[in-house]
Amino acid sequence: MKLLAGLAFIVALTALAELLCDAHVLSPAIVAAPHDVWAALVAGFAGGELWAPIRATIFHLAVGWSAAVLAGVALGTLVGLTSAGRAYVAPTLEFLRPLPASAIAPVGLLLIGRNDAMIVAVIVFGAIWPVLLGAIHGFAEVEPRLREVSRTLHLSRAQTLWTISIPSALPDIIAGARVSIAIALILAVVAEILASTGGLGDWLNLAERSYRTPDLYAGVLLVGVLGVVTNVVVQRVEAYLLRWKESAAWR
Amino acid sequence: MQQKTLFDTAHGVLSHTVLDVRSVGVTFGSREVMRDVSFSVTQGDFITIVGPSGSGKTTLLRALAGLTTPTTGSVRFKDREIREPQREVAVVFQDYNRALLPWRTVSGNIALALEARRIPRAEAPARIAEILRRVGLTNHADDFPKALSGGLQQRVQIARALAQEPEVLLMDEPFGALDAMTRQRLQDEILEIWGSTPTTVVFITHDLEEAIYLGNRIIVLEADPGRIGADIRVELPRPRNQLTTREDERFLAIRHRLFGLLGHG
Amino acid sequence: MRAPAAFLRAALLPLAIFVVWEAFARAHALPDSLSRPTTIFAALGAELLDGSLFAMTGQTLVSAAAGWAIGAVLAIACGIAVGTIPALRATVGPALELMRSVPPVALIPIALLVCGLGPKLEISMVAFAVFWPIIIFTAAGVRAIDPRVLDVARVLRFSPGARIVRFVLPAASALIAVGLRIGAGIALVVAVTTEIIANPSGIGYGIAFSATTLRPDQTFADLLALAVVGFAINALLVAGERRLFGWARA
Repeated sequence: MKLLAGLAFIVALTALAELLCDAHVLSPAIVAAPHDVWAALVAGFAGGELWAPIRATIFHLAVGWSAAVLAGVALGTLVGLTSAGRAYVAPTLEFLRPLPASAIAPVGLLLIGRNDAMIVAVIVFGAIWPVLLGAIHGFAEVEPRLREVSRTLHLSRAQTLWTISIPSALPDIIAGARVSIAIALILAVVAEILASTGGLGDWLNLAERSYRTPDLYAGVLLVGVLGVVTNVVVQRVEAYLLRWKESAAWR
Repeated sequence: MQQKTLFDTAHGVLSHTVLDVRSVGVTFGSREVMRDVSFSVTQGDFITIVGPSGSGKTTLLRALAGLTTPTTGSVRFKDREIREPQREVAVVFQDYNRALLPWRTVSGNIALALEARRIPRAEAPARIAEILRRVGLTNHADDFPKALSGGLQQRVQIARALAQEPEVLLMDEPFGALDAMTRQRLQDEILEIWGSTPTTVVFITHDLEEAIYLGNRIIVLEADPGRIGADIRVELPRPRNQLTTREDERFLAIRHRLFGLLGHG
Repeated sequence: MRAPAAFLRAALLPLAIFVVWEAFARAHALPDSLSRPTTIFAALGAELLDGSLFAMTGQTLVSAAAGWAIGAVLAIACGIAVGTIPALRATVGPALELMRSVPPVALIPIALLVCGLGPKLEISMVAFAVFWPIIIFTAAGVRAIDPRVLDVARVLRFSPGARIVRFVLPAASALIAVGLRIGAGIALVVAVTTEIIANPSGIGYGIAFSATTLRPDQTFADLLALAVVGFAINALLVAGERRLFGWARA
């Protein structure tokens, strides 16, 4: 019921936009009429021009985000599980946390240049933070009783890490991964705009420069769809990995 | 200081002394939690340790478990000084919901003990199935701890302890958080488990009747600081029965004595 | 004393990095793009002295703050409406959730068409970006109000306007505050991102300009300045929230 009402609202808004565009109340140089956007989408997919940018952005996202997650967990393990890490490294990380991740993009351009490597590097450097900090926080919150259990059972250090520390930190790590994919998408777009070597960011930039508003809005729509899809995918994975957290059937 | 009878000394010489507590004192900062506690545990004993809060029961158990090192004195397991948890000693904690791995099923939690012992993966399922049968958890093998009642969760912890095939089982007020009916059921179950294996059990409780019902020897701790008030032999017939044993006049006599020592029932 | 010791330990890693970087730079010829700590700090000093750093920081902060304030006012107003009227919540809710998942950066090109270059671009981008989290938190805060509080307001015959100001806002303020804090964080990020991609003003533009004109020392200097600004703002926000809304914590 709620979903229907919501959909109806969105449909109504789209219809309103269509009307206003037809009546020339909204300038086509700024707002593209919904039917034009649709046409642009269809043309882009049918003619094949949209596939390349979509594929490029998905590639950047996939490589960058997974590298960020892996590196974040690995570094988080080193920093979070050693008292030296917590004392010497964690404060610097806390200082760098509020730095806007998009600021890395020009630096990447400076150091690496205009290519795919720069885009992926920027994504990794920006998207690693939520996972890294999540892992550090997660490892700090391991149930002390379980540490004692690992001692009384005589688990090796590796076993303790694998069976207790990491699963214990997993909820925080996955929460970080979910924020991370959102950041990865933003950085992908920013880096692609700066690099001008392809991807949806580049598509948006070019469309804006040449006032091709239907293509622009089509691109924005696709970025939005990508954002929703990636978020849903990560949420599903999260729900599966954390299925043991269901509330008690009866107590 | 405990009163050792001639019988005890002879008994100790003939059978194995598996745990030896020698003049153990524990001080945390400025607080003296335990003073000059000494006693020996013979193999096969079921010792209950009872006392009010502040008598250091949990501290004593943690010293036996090797989780806390005594400030003075020593604890020995079979002539080895305990400074670290021993493989042959298993611990069952009171807070079962924090001592189980919530991300593993019941079988998975039991398997953890087998993994620690490096039991080959192929052998594990059979062993786990056997333990599940012994504690009555076969139907819950694939449940996660969160879905189980308190009594069942505590059984999982006991099952995991059994998977260690320990020589000594230390239990820290394991049934304290459970309702009376579940408690009685688990009391009988633990007695059955103890009776069918050569395990020695050290059982901490604040419940006087539980202490008498379960043990063949009760160590009474007094509080502030913790020290031994009495060491009582329990000469009640086995198997124990929730109805008849508790009405036995010897049971009541000991109960009177404990009440006198500890001032609560 | 604990605090200085912890601070020293915290500073050890960055200091070590700078020393190694500097030593390496002096010993070997680094690529032009990397620069070295001493030149970077020199550039930072120069920017501080000639006031350009303050000017840039000021531009960014003013745009961010203005956008945040505008977005916050609109979002709180709409959030109260959405939170109190169930029918509105049902229709608008899914659209809100959808808009929240669209990364603001994708809308910068559209905003560019609408506003052109200049402060208006940045302020509208920031306002747009902070609108979504703040409206969602406001609506949640309003929904979480104990209905008895509202009953009291009605029984005491307060007008709807007075009810909102005297009862709804204070009761929902804890969650609204969370939304505002998240919004403030987003404000800075969106402002800087807009500057990097489009708007020629502020620190973001400084970093982007220095990078494209191949001035690595200035690039890193501005980056460092931005890190400090971000850290300071975050610290202020956390401290402020704790002091103003500590009572709301359980």
